[in-house]
Amino acid sequence: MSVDNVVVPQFVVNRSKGSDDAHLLIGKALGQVIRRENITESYVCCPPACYITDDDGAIFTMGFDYIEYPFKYEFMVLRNDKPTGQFAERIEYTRRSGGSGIVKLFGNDGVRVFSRNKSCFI
Amino acid sequence: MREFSLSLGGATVAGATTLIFVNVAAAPGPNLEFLRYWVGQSANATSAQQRINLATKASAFPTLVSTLATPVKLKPSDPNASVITAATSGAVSTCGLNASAEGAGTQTIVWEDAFNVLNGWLHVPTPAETRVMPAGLTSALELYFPVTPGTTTNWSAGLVFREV
Repeated sequence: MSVDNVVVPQFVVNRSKGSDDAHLLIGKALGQVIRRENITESYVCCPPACYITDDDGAIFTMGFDYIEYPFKYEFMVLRNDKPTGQFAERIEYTRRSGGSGIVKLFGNDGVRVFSRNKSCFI
Repeated sequence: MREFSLSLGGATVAGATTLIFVNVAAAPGPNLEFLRYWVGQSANATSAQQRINLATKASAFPTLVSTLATPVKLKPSDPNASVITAATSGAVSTCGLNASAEGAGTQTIVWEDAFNVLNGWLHVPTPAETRVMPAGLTSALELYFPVTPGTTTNWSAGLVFREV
């Protein structure tokens, strides 16, 4: 077990995933370090939201690279300020009560879902 | 196309205040087309709603921070810098951040919105809805907090424009 982990009765708090505190989520977006105590509420879309904090504390937002279509823009989707290689018109975060959240992209390339295991959109 | 970003980070706002201010160049300089705007708070634990305005402002302009207010090229190989340069005065062909005084000029709100501070605000007009500020216009565009936010620290904001 890592020295960064804290043993408390019944469970272990893992601090290794972008967190320096059992209740603080840390990510990056548009050059800023973003600190949150909670993941994003269920069913938030970017835009109009600027950030989405997923279940790992990572921040999704729209980057600066863009494709212009006749009546819309699609921007490069960033995760913790790293390009994901996906252009999208909208990032959507949904979460069922008691379940884990899902990050989806909508755009000309169809609907894509972020895989937390593979750390990419599929 | 020549696009530039202008952003503010980790700022403490004084109250109802101008976050980003861009004044177009004199004619026959390039027109500015604004492609997107964002506002967020880099550290906060309290859910709260906050109003945000896009507004035009005539002289007298706000007093601004010019440090780190130089527009950044989105195409690093672009040989030319933006015609808009950083300044504290808000004068023609300049931009600035986080006003310390608002100036007495007439403000006209052109876009009123509100957002949750935990999620931030990203406004991406569709191409037909982008705002174009023509060179020689006597008023500037500003991103403005019409009310004091509940937490005044750690604000970030920005916009992207292109010279057309």
